[in-house]
Order: sequence, then C-alpha cells, then structure tokens
Amino acid sequence: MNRFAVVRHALLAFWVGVVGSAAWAQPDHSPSAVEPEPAAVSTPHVYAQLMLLHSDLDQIRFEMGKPKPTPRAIDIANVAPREVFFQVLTLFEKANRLSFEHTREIAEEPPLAEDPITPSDVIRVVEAALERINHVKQQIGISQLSSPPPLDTSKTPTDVLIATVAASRQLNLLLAQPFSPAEVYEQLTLAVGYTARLRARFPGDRLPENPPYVRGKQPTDVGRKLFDCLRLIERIAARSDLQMLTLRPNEENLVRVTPSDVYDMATLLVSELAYLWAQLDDVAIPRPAYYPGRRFPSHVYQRAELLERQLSELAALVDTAPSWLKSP
Amino acid sequence: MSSPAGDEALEFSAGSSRPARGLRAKLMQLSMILTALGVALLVVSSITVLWLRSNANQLALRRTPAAVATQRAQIGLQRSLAGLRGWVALGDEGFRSERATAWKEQIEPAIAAIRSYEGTWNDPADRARLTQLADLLVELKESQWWVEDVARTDGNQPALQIRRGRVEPIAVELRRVIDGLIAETGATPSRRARAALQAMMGFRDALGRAQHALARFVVEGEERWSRDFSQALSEAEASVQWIAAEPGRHALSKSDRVGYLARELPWYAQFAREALDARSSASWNVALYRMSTETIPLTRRTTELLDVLAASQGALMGRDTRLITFAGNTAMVSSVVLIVLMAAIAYALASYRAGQITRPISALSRATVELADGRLKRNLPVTTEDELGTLTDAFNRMRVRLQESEAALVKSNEQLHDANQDLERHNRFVRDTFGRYLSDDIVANLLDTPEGLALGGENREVTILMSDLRGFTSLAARLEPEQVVSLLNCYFGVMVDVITRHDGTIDEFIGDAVLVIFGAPIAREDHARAAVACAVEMQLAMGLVNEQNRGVGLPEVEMGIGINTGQVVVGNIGSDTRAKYGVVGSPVNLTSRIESYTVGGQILISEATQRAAGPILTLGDTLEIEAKGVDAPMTICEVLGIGGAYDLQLIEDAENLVTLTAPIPLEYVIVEGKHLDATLHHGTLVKLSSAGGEVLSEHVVAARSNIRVQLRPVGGPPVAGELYAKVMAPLPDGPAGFSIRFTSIPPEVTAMFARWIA
Repeated sequence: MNRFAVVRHALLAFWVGVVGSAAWAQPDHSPSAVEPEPAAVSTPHVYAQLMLLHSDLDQIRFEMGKPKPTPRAIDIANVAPREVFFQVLTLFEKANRLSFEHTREIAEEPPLAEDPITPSDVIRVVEAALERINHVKQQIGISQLSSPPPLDTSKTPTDVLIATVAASRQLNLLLAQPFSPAEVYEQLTLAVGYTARLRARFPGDRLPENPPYVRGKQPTDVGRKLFDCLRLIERIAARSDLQMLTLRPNEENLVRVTPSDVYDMATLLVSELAYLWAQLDDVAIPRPAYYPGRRFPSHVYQRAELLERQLSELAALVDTAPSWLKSP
Repeated sequence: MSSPAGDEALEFSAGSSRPARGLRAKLMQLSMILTALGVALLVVSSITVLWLRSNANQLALRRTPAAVATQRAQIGLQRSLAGLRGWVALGDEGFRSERATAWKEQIEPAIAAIRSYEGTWNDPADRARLTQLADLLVELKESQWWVEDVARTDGNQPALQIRRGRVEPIAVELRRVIDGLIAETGATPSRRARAALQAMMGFRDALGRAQHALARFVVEGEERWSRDFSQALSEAEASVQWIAAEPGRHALSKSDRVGYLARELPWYAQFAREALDARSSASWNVALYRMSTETIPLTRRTTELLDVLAASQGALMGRDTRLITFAGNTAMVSSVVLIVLMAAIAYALASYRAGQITRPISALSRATVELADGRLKRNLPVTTEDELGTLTDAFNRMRVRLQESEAALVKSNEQLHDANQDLERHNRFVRDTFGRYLSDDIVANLLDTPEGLALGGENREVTILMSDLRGFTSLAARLEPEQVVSLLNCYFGVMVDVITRHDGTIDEFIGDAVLVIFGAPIAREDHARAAVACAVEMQLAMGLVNEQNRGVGLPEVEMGIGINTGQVVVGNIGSDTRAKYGVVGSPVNLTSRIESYTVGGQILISEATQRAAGPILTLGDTLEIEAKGVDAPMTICEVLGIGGAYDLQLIEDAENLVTLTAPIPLEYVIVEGKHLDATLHHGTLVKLSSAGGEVLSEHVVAARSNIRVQLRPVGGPPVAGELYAKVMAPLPDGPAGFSIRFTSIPPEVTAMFARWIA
C-alpha cells in the first residue's frame, strides 16, 4: 500500500456517512440501468459493472495463464453501501497495482464519497477500477471488449459485496506482487490507529501491552483472529445502536485463506472501524500506517492480537457506557 | 482508705440518711472539674498537636512525596524520550526496553502517586492541570508508541521505500537491458556502432551515477547528491534520446530494447523524483518527524505541566511550612496562655469549692473547741446537705445530748456524792463492826479491792492460832445470856485488839474460840513468830479480861492456845452471794487438836511452828501426843515466852497443891469430843489447888484427856455442878493416879474448893 492509500483511509471517514441510502435500500429495477444517469444508478447497475469487470479480468487471466480463484461461499449479511464502497476501493487499489505492474502507471484514487453514499458513488469507483483493468488489457494486447450483462434487479448490496470480493480474489491471482503479510500488517496498524482514537473516548491507555511474538503462525490463524476482531466490532456497534455487516467464518475458506484474502478482511475491518470513528464528533485523525517492511504471518498475528486486546477493552468500556459516541 | 462497705456501715451506724448531695460527690465534682479542665487543656493541646501533625503529615506524606513524584515523573519522561531517541536513531532493543521501563517504573508509578495525593491539590487550577496531565500522558504514551512502531520499518523513510520499491527495479532492468545492448553493440566493429556503444556506455554510466547520487541523497539528504542525480539523469536522458533518435541505427533485435529504455527511463525519472521529493520533505523520516512534531512537543508540554504542578506543590509546601511554623508558635503561645488560664480557673474553682467544703469544718472545729470549753450554747447552722451538713446536725444533737448528759452527770455526781457518803458511813460501820475481828489490812483489802473478794484460793504456808476458853461451855450454861455475851464481848474485844496489833487475821469466831491466821492474806516471813508473840500477849491480856469480868461480877476464865504452821489453802471461800476469807487444810484441824491439849493459860505449838519461829522461843514441857487424824505420834511443846523484838514472857502461876486431909472420892468419865465415855471410873482427889489437883485412880488415863468429874465427898451428897478437867500427866511416883487441870469449875464447886484448900 502506498502513502496515498493511508491518506485515503484517514480522510475516508470524514466522508463516510451513516448507513445506507434510499437508493441502496430501494434498488432501481430499470432494465436500462447499464449506462444510467448518476441519479438513476442503482445496485443492479453497480452489480452489472462489476460483472463487466469480472469479464475483463477473466480475459486478462486467460491471457496471463493464471488460474481462476476457487469459488467460496461467503456467509455475510446486513451489508451497507459504505462497506461495499470500501471494498470497491480495495478492488480499485488492486487494479491500480496490476496496472502499475504492467504499465508503470498509477492512477489517482477516486475521490471519496460524501454522505450518504449512493450506488453512483460506488459505481464511480468500479468504473475507475475498470479503466485500470482496460489499461492493462491494452498493454498486454487484448482487444476483445466485454459485453455488459443484463440488469438483474434482484441484486442487493450483499450481492455487490460478494461480487467485489470475488473480483478482488481474482485480482490477487493476477498480481505479480500480490498483497503480502506486510500489507495486512499495515492495514492492521491502521486499524490499531482507529481503535486508539475510539479508545480515547475513555480514560486510560489507548494501546495495550504488545502481545508476545509467536512463531509459526499461518494466514489462517490471522484470519481467525481477524474474525474475532470483527465480532468485537459487531458487539461494539450493537451496543452503540449501530448496524454493521455480519460476516461469519467459514472453516473451509479459512483453511485456504491467502494473505490477499486476509488483506481484504483487514480492509473490511478498517472500514468498519473508520465508520465507528466517523460517528465521533471531535476526534483527531488516526495516525497513518506505513509499510513495515518484510513481515511474516506471525508478525501480523501479533498485531491482530494487539488489535483484539484493544477492541476487547473498548468493548468492555462501551458495555458500561453505550452512549459513548454521543458524549465526549 | 475506707471501703464503700465501711462507708455504708458508718452511715448505718450514724443512723442518718444519705445526703442528697454528698461531700464525696462534691469532692468528686471538684476533682472532676479540675480533671475536666486538665482534660480540656489536653484536648486543646491534642487538637493542636493533631492539627500540627496533620499539616506536618500533609507536608511530609503528601506534599513532599507529591513533589518528589513530580520530579520522578519528569525524570521518567526524559528517560523515556531518551530511550525513544536511541531506538529511532540506533534501533537497539535496549532503548525500547529503556523506554518501557521508564513508563512502568517511573512515570506511571509517579503519576499514580501524584494522583493518590489528590487531596493535596486543592487549587482547582491544579486539579485541571492534573486532568490535563493525565490526558497528555496518555497522548504522549501513544505518540511514543507510534514513533517506536514506525521507527524501524521500511515505511519510516518513504524516499528509501520508493527507491527500493519502484526506482530500483526499473534501474535494475534498465541496467540489464543496457548491458545487453552494450554487449551486442560492442561485438559490431563499425564506426556507427562505436558511437552507439559510446552513447550506451554513457547512458549506463549516467544511470549508475544517478543511482549512486539518489542512494546517497536518500540516505544523507545532502543537496549536492540531488544535483548530481539531476545531472546524471539528464545525461542518461540525453544518451537515451541519442540512442533512440535514429530508428534505423539499431538492428531489429535491438530496437525493442532501445524502445524499452526510452519508455522506462521517464518512469525511472518520475519515481526517482518522487523519492527525491520524499527525501526533501520535512517528513522524510516519519519517526523523527512524528517525534519532533508530536512527541517532543507533548513531552515538553507534559514537562511544563509537571513544572507548574511542582511549582504549585512547592508553593504549597512553602505555605504549609510557614503554616506549620506559625501554628507551632501559635500552639506554644496558646498552650502557655491556656495553661495559665486553666491554672487560674482551677485555682479559683478549687479555692471556691474548698472554701465551701472547709467552711463548715472550720465552724465545726471552732464549735468543738467552744463545746469543750463549755461555752457553746447554740446550734450551728446547717448550711449544706452533704456529710458536713449531717455532721453539723449530728454535732448539734450531740451538743444538746452532751449538755443534757452534763446536767444528768451533775445530778448523778450529787447522787454519787450522797451514795459515797452512804458508802463511807457503811464502810465506817463495816470497819467499826468487823474491824475488831479483822486486821486493818484485810478490812482495807476488802474495802479497797473488792475484786479481792473474788472466789479462789492459793496454797500458802501460814501459822494458825486457835484460842479457846477452858470450860466456857459449862460456864455459859450457868450464866445468863447477857452475861455470856458481855463476857464474850469483853474477851473478844481484848483479844481482837491483841490479834490485830500483831496483824493476825481473825478467820472465825467459833463460839468462844477464835481462829486466827498469820501470813495471809498478807504474806509475811515471820508469821510463826508473830503468831507465838500474839499468843503470848493474848495470854497476858487475859489478866485484863478477868479483871473486867471480876468488875462486873462475872467469873474469871482461862484460855488455851494451840499454834500450828503448815501449807494450807487460803482465799475467799463460799458462794457469789456469801463468802468469807478463810483457810482450809489439815494444819487447821491439827491446830484445833493441839489447842484441845491446852489447859487454861497454856500455849502449845507444833514442831513446825517451833522450827518456823526459831530459837527466840522460850519453851516449856514437851508432849508427845497421838492426835486424831495424824498417823504418827507428834510432839508439841509449851511456849513460855518469846524473845527478840517481842520479848514477852508468860507469868508463871505457881500451883500450890494442898494435900487434902480428907481425900474426896470421885467418879469420872472420859470426854471423847462432845461425847462422854460410857465407862465410869473411880478415883480419889488427894491434892487440890484452885486450878488443879492430883487424883488417885487405878485406871490409866492418857495425858491431855478431858474428863468430867463427879465429886462424891465422904458422908455428904455428891457435889452439884459439872466439873471438867484435863488429865495432865501420870503421877510420878507412888500410887497410880494422874494430875489434872480443871477446865470448868462451877461456882459452887469453886466455893467448896476454897473451903477445902483453906
């Protein structure tokens, strides 16, 4: 992750609003939504664009001789537009990296959406990612254009998120330099920064004692730990009367999890923390995270455990003061 | 100290009810007031001391530790900052642990200590500072964490990261491509090829220099390296331009690679410039940047805040010190004032209460003196309800009773005086009545020491004298009672005088006999001599008795005296109502036996008396008798006089026996005690005097036997009247017979004898 990504995450929360929008809640079922006006963009349009991106990625995969990602069932629910938005941003980041690897070009990230986030905000990022992918297609000599799929009006934000994750996983396989434990570590450090800001609402140290380094940890272990962290965030949100997605771990998926998958989870976790942080009125911007250099899953696990401790403390404090977001 | 039970007993004995408010209560009250004053003083002093101690404690246990903790926190902050700097600069793990130790062992304990002394921070500003300090420390700790976390990461220096991650891969590829081109071009020995080779080598050299300068700049940050990089990059760009300027210059095999150089070099330049920009920015080292922009200012603010708190605490310490000094001085002065004040109050109270208590006592004391002098005629006022009131009341009652008693005493004295006079009269009567029979000593002893009349006795050696008138029984039978009494009074009157003169104790008058004791009740050594002398003088006094008898027409009488000495029991003998001083023992009986052997005018003493009296006695005949009640025969002797200081001698009465011309037959019976022997003996009176005679008789009669004689003159009637005599001794020679001594001669016989003798 480059420093722009850090800034992105830092600034993102200023623009992220409360859950959902009318557009997301009531998707537009118009069959001509592939190239709609921004105001008419609905979830199916976004989904259709994502499908287009999937098609392009499949062409690149074919050209590069890379494998298809193994299909995985994701047990996810209560997805909000903001969560889709953040995952789409991650998708763009990966697409940008792929573009860099092939063209040396690094595109500017799409501007952050203003509250409330709408499908048009999401589709803007999806299109930016699609542009990066097309750039790669051109670079590697693929001239075939993908056809936009027909609008499926039954698609929901959850379907969009699942499609985004699938695209992300495909991109992971296409990258020459895939997302490594170091980048997951960086995301988790960012999460620690967010949590420290949230923890500042309560007296006492914001960063617990660094847990001991345990050798031999696998991405699977990190994945499990991140699930634990997500559950804690869910608990905090529930106590704070906020709605968040619920992602349940799938043991089969966990066993086969890759650093890139963990990275996706980490970004999701950061997005949720950023959302919580955005609820606070006058809180300082979290400190940006920096590339840590080479890191092993054990390092990541150590940081994830630090985050888990932080979140546990915060959850315990929130239990005692559920209205903590309202009063400084 | 009296026990409460004793007090109760006293109260009960006094018969008074418990006073409503007792002296004890007053004394207790006084003591309690004084104690209360003392306690009040102590309480005030204790409060002052506690207050002082509280301030001193606050100073010692709160302010000073708080100030020390403040300093400790500052030191810890500097230590943590030093550790962080060391870690950022050198990456030594020791510095990380130093920072952690500073927080764990210095800063956090110090802050905890500062907060624990929260009571010392009374100033609201200080309290606000404490809150601010807590926030700052949390912020600072987090800031340090972030600096430490990023310090040794690749991302800490973005320029370095860009160089490594983006510039270096391109540079490596460019180098690989240019090296291949040079190798291929160098193998073609043409002039154009040499020019291209030179351009390629120039590119490679410029790229190398650019890489070197970039690397140096990224690490060192010196501007000259940036300039060198720009120059080298320009040269490299020029070289690539030259190489790529003529497409036909290269073989087809080279053209793609030349095109690659032309395409990639701008990216290299872009990323390198990004690295240069990143290195030139203020945040080229994130950790240092964070430290300088965030951590150090936070540390400074925290330190300044601690300085302010330390200064505030110092000011408070100074204030406390001044306060303690002032309080100490005040406490000392106030203690002195309080001591003086309370001493004065205690003195006044004690004086007042003591006056209240002692005033009645003084009044009582004066009243007692007046009472003793007999001047107190009025009651004391009862002014209190305590024991003193009770005492005063009792004193008043005592005074009344005393005066009543005094009156009664006067009356009793008068009665006693009367009784005394009666007693004197009685005593005089006693003396007059019994003094004639008792010695003055016994009388005095009886009168003066009534306790001497207590029953009891003691063994004592005394000499017993018993006198008896010879033939008095028969005489008394012949006389009128008044004559008997008159004779006896005369006789006893003379004898008692003699006896009392010799300090004899008349134990008893037994008819005409007198029992006298010498040596009791007043012990004397010469009791035997006194008794003998008394006996001699009694015999001598018989002349006076007979003279008086003759004067009143009474017959003359003779007296015999027996004396014995021995151990007897003397003392008051009788009952509580009737007792007399007397003597008991066999010597008394023996005395009576001895006396029974006497004839008129004779004194017989036992050997014991003889030994006790000593050689001053003039002794006459000695007789050996077998006294009744005595186992062995005993010797008695006749006393004729006593020498020494007494110098008394009996007058010898020469017996002129007349031989009767006509012996007179007689009959006699032996008298055994009070009885007459039944055997009638016959004899003849052959010689006769007024006192005795000689009798011829065949019957042997023991000497000293008493006989009753019936004279039967020849040719005439028997002589009337009872004639008693005592056998003196057998006739020495001639016919059997014995001499006799008349012990009782009837008057008609006396007249007959006178005729016969004439």
